[in-house]
Amino acid sequence: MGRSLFLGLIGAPYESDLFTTTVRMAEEAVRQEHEVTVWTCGYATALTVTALGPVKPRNAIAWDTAYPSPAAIAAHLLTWAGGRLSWLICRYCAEERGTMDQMPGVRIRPPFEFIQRAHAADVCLVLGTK
Amino acid sequence: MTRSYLLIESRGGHESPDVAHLFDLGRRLREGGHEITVFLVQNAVFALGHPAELEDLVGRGVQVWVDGYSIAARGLDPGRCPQGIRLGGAPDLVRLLMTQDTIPVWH
Repeated sequence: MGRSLFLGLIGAPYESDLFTTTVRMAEEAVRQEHEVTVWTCGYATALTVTALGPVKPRNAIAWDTAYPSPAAIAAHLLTWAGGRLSWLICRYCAEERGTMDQMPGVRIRPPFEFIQRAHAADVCLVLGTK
Repeated sequence: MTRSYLLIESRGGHESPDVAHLFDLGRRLREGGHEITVFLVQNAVFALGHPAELEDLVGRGVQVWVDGYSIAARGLDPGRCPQGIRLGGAPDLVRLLMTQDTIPVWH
């Protein structure tokens, strides 16, 4: 039976492959018929800003290859999951970092909802903290 | 009361001294009679280069998994996986994470 999973993505997302791990886990959890909430805080709120566009800047050693941006990957995941996944970002973190302009499908939520949603989920895992 | 812990390590030993602490936590919890699973992802898979600590955990009854994707992304050889250590991926990690009454810890 499907359960609910809350994945908190905290910390600098480009410091490691944390974003990749989060996306892999979220995708697999949906595949296993669970309900997934991804909540980003700090600079992880920048992963889904509109300004990123659909592709990353060109790669000088693979000029003709288009690599999807994190925003495009999140958008694809949201579409593919068909309502079994929510991507939420912390309003406080977004306001502080100028990342309020988010791509469609991503919802900006007040910070106190973090703890509410974390508590409400069957399983909560916060990635990126000590 | 016996509990089940999933300790997910994402950092390499050269990145953070807390990696050793997490392994030690697993060891101590196991000594306390709890069921422990350690899952290595991201840079934590570099621990395969000096597997004595992982083998020690396995010897104590800790289930140790390593993420095949993280191994491949770092050009490591999955054949170097010592006996008793399981090679897995996101499906295994999610299955372990979503198992009823499991307490997950991320580092």
